[in-house]
Formats: sequence, C-alpha cells, structure tokens
Amino acid sequence: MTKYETTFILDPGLDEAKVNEEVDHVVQWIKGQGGEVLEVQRWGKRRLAYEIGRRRDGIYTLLLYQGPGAIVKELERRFRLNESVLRSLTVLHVPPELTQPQVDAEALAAAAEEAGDE
Amino acid sequence: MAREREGKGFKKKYCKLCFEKVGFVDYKDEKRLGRFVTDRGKIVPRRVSGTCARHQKQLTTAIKRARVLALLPFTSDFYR
Repeated sequence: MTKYETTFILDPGLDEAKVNEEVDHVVQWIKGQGGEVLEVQRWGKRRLAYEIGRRRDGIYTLLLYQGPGAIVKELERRFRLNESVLRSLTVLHVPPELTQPQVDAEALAAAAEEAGDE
Repeated sequence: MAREREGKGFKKKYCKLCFEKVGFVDYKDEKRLGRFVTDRGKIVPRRVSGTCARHQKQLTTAIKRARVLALLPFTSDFYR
C-alpha cells in the first residue's frame, strides 16, 4: 500500500483540547476507512511565512499513513470543509533516510572554503 | 559557464546538495530550502547557485510545496 503524508495547519486560536480533538478525529477517521496511521508529528504553533486569512501563526500537524488512495481525496475534501483547517498538503511519503544529508554539511563546507581560499 | 570570478582566480561552482549527499530534497526542511531562495522569496536559478539538474528539479518542487504550507513566502513584501 502507498504511504502518504499529510500536513495540515490548524487555526492558532484553538485551545489545546480542541486541537487534540481535531487530530484524533482525523486519525480515527483514517482508521475507520481501512487506513493505518503510522506516525503523528506535532510541530506545534509556528509562524506562517505569510498571512492566511489574517492569521500570522498556525498549528502544524503531520500525519504519515497508508491506505487506499480514495482516502486522500475524501480527507482533502473534509479539510476544505473544516473551517479550523487553514491549509493542508498531501504528498507521497519519501523515507526520511533519503532526505537527510549523509555528510555534516556545515563543517565540510567551512573546511572547503578555507582550503579554497589558501 | 560554470565558473565565477572571485578575487584573482576562478572558483568552480559545485552542487551543494550533491556535496552534502542529500538523496531527496524535502519540503519540510525549510532551513535547507531557505538557502536556495533570494531574500525576496524567489528561487535561485541554477546558473547562480550551481545546483545540479537533478537537485534543482527536486528543489523547485520542494520550495513550491513549502510555499503552500506557508513555510516559505511566495513573495516578500519587505522591499516595498
């Protein structure tokens, strides 16, 4: 089964309990649809790079799940209808070991800089 | 050309992402992406950053995805 990851931004005005409720609701819903939630990452409240509907912050949550593709379409539709969700983005999951650099970049770059200047 | 003038000699450009051995550029990694956008929020072209074709392609998608999630700006109004 394909793995998907969905990040969504919740209204910063929601209190902790409401946020938990929203996230749990989505997780339960995915399970109910025959999907399997593999990971829930909460990034917490973050500053937005630009305002979305007069809001400068957002509560970010990332879901990693697998299941039939039909889930994705319905999930996105639900997010659009849900007014406390400011934004959402679903992409195919890429294993994290691929996205991590293999070399300690800054140290090496600094060394290369110095060697280049000599 | 892949060379830029720097001081007296020439300095060969290289792909910083190949150098770090990044297998796939991730949209969540806004710190790394931030190095490849100008302060106005534009994507730095390959001829300037020296990024290889493969990584530049991954970069553009990653940056565009990050913009949707407001991790990176579409534009910066700073200079207005």
